[in-house]
Amino acid sequence: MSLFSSFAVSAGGMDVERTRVEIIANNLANAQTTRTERGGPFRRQLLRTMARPAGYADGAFLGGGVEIKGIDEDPSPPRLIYDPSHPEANARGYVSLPNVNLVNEMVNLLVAGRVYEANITAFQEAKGMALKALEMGR
Amino acid sequence: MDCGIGVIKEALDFLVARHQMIANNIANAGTPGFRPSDLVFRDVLSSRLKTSSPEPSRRLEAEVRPLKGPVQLDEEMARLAENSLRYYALTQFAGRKFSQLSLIINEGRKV
Repeated sequence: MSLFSSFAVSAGGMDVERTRVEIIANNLANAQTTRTERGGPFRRQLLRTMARPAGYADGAFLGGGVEIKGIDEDPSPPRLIYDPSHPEANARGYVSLPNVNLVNEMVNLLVAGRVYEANITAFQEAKGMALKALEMGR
Repeated sequence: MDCGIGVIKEALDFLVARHQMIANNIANAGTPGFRPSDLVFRDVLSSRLKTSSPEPSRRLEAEVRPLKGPVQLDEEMARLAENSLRYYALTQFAGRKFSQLSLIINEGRKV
């Protein structure tokens, strides 16, 4: 029955990577947002994940998986762009833009997509193994 | 009399546990500070050969071997493919064992 818990581990991994893609999409959508509800420019968000405890005992693998612990804000300072005509410009003519780096976000997006695919492969292999085990008695 | 099916079962259980460990490594590929690990057979053969009366063991002894972090996705995928191929080979082998047994039972009935 332990192959079924392996499905749960891979599905959890896919869930985390999908959430990561959603957060990156939100960062990209708000890459130029200069005002938020709290005031100030949008701040880049980061997904915080944690590995669930896992162990091997008496010939079986127990536990395992990944879970989302929360969403953090990138503490790095906002980008300052000189644009005195902008309505959000400060007294010296500088506008605070979000600390979102497009290249970083795109790279993280690609990595999240690849890890998602790796989780799908692990899921399919577990399914294949279970099906082969069913064929054994034929 | 289990015609070696007992040891095949142990080996299949080992491969399932190893698959879970690899799936766990892949699921945590994006977790900072996660240390991946692999499951390996403990080398019991050499120690058993040294003793004067080697007792054949039916239990496969495995141990967790920590890998260097962070998770290397390519290595994990290679291990995943290798692991399931081993599983497929063993299920084929077990299937043959079962058909052999069924042949023996049915042919014995005819005599």
